[in-house]
Amino acid sequence: MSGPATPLNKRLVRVLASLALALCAALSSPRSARAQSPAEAPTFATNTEPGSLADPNGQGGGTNQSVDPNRLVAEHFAKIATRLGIICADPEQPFTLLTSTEDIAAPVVPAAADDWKGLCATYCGDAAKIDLCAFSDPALARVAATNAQDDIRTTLSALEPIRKYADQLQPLLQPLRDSTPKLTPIGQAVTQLSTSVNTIRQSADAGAVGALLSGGATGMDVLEPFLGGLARVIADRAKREAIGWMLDEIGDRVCGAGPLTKAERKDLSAALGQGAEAYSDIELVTLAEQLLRERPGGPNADALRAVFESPHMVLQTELRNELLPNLCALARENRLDHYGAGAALLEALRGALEADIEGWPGVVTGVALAEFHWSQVEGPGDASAPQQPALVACKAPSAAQTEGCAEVGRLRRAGQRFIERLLDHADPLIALRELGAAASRASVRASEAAVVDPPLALLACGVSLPAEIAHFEPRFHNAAKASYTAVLTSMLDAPACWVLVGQGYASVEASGDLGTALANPDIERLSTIVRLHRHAGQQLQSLAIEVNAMQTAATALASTSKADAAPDHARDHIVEQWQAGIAVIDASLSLTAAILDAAEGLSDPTQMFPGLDLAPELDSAGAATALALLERHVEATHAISDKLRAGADVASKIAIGDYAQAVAVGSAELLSTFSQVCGTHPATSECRARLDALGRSSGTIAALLSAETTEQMAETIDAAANPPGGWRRKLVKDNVTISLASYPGIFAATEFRWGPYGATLEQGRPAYGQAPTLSLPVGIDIVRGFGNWGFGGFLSILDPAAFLHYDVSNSGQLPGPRPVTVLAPGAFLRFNLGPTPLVALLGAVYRPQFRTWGPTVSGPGADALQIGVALGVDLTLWRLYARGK
Amino acid sequence: MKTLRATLRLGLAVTVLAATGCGDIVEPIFDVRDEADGRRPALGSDSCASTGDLNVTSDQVIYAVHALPEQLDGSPAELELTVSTACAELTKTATHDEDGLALVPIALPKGAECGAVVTASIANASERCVLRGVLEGAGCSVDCGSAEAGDTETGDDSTETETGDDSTDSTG
Repeated sequence: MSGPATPLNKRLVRVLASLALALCAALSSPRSARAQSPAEAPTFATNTEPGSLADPNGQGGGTNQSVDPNRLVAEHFAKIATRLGIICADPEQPFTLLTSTEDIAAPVVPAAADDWKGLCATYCGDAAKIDLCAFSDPALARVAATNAQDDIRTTLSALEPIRKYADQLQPLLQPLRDSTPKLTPIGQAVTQLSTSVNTIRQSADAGAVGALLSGGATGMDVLEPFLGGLARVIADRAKREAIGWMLDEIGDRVCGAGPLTKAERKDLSAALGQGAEAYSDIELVTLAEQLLRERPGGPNADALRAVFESPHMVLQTELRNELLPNLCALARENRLDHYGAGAALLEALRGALEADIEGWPGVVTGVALAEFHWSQVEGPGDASAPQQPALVACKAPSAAQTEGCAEVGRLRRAGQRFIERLLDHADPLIALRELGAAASRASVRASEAAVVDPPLALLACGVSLPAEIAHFEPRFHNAAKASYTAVLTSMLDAPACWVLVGQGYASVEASGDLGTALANPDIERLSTIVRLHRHAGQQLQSLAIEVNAMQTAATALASTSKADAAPDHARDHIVEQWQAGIAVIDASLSLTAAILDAAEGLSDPTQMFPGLDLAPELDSAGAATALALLERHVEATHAISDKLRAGADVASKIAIGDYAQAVAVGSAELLSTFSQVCGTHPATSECRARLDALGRSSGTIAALLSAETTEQMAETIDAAANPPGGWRRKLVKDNVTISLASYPGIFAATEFRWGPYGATLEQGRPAYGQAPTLSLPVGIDIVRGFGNWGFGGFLSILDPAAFLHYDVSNSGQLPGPRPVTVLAPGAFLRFNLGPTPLVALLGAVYRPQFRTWGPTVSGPGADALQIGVALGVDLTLWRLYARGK
Repeated sequence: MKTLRATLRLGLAVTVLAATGCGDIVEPIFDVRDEADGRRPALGSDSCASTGDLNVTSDQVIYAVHALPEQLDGSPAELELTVSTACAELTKTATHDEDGLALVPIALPKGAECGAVVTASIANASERCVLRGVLEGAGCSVDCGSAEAGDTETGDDSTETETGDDSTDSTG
């Protein structure tokens, strides 16, 4: 600044001064946004229609009635950058080109040519610390004006050769800063929007409820089958018994009879010492946890820990406490006894199931996120010591305090909260953004001040962006490359992306590490904008289609939320809203995926994601390139993104009341997620048996929840008790099935008789023939499957068709009916005739007082032992025990 | 196949065991006497043991004795007695006493000189005793006359029905 004044200096100052005046003029314009009241400030909205909140111009077409001040700043900043670029094209003769392209008056501030060289080296070009010249691109300037006005001011003030000009500019910039509409913080804006949306939705819901309460036709339609079902259920005692049976079945198989198995109880008792056998399960667990906390290195700590870390126990706890807490409580504690035996019982059952199912998507999403993170931070493990899932590893009290387990816990809660927010009718974009923020925090480990989970960091950034883009894109609606501008702005604005792209590369460099950089609240972003533009601009510009799709979905959701629902169609309206919400999530996750895919096309991913610290990993990975490493991260991110989509999908089914679909879709996800809990632990079979039980019960649960009346629920339970096609399951290889079954068919036998029959006394001889006759034996069937056939035994108990066993040796005399005639205790070997329900039985049946001459209650009769063969059809009436698939 | 063979063997074994542990069937004993002897036939005696000593004529009163097996607790049905001669057929029903014994007097219908057949039926047991007529064996010829058909005798514990055939001749 000590050089002599030259005409060139004066010209430059004049150029910049004219720009400052232009800025001043823009800011002082009565039509500028300076006149906007805070209430008129843009808030988050997904609607881009003219006149909407999201259209700050209020015109949809961009007239001068209301000009976005950010746009003015961007335009002038772009001009400054353009001029700087012209000057720096030839620093030796900085104004040669400028004078030919601009109306430049004589400069008034002296400056030396060396100063220009130094200035251009620092602020223009690829090698520059901050390439201000890049902001000649209007899109970048718009990003900077929206996102980094303070940085613009700071950087301009740092331009040494024009310090004086900058000083002069300062008072002009100050009003600019003051007049810039304060953007409502994203969270606050979204909360407002969410609240308003909720209000609308609640109104719609209230309409639906009102329609029911008003006693109109809709209410009666609901009430009539309910009362009818109630009456029928009360009348049908057998069905009530079936409910009890089903609860017992679920209670035993899924919820477990108690917190501890016999082996676990034995181990805990032994570890806790003498007298512990007398404690209840809960007391044992509590004592063991306390002991582990107080003396983690105690003599019995390992034994105690082994019990707690048993996958079987972990899974049992999950099933009981997370997946089916209400149903298990009913099943284990016989609380249903208090509901009597009518429709209230069924409604209580349905209520418990619905409450439980509503938690499924959150549990699945949370566990999926937690396990994904755990697998990333704890490493894949080797074959000899496979990695334990987080649910198991963090179950031990001593492990609960570790940093990894704490992250896992937070992520799990974040996943659950994400689904809860969706079910609470929150804006899906905001729910995603919150999830992204939580995931971002978990991806950076404080103790290491580094990104420890790159895929999670990518996911966090990706799912946060849609909300940001939806916020910014309408502002750039009429600008060139609006989508690109919005994406770039959002990447800088979303906290979840800061750990990846940095808030200012120079600051990160200066800080030395990401932890310090993140802790620095005042870091510039201009260099980040330039770096992203330079290294990822091409890829990010290709996202216009996905951005537009997401915006369209968001707009549809907003209009759906604002629309009034007719009371008669309140449910349809809710369904419509949810479909729109899921479309937003789908579009958002697609946008996330597209952004990640775009990142795979980077020539140098380290420039776009300095926070990922790809280079050191590259060294350890040997031959892998940074891009290959990034691709691996992106692939993992896609996998967990799919889990989010699945969780949201299940939640949508629940939200529209389609619990059956929710169970159908959710149980598959749930089984897939929890199967890893069983892992390769020695107790895997026991663990998987519980999962299998849950899988088998899910069909019944789905059917129960899809029943519209209590009568249908009762029928469903009956069907669950007596599933058709039970014979197929018996044939599956290695399956062992014990059931109450019947074999209607034909029976032929040799018969021996003992006792008075008619006027004779039978003493076993001669042997009579039992001609082939209809038979209907009912009894206990024990079958083992061998693939295409089954073999086992059948213990018959009754034969209601025994009255038809005519006596060929006595002119076809039928057995005189008496109460014991139906008794047919016997034992048969049974063989399936191929993969069919046809079964051949070979065995003997003893029929007490079967051969009776006439009807009698207690008259004489000869016992009969029939040894023969039967050909029957396997009708499985009630499955009592099943092992296998 | 091995399992099937084992199963068949087992079934056969059960059958054999059941059969070897058995006794023969015990049936009622039926006899016809010429006196009102209410003795129960000895256990194991043959039916119609006394019949061979009789040479019957028309209107002669004979006594049918029917004994149910002692192990039977009560009678399963009424005893039905049918007497058939060359000229007529008589049916009577009766019930057994508490000891399972039935003693039924029967006046033989016309034509008994040529012989008669007495059949006792009850439930699943039926016995038949053949009585020799006094003229039997000497070229029996009897004039059945105008025997009335459908006569029925009813006593305290028996019912009798008689049917005749005017033109029936029977030779021994």
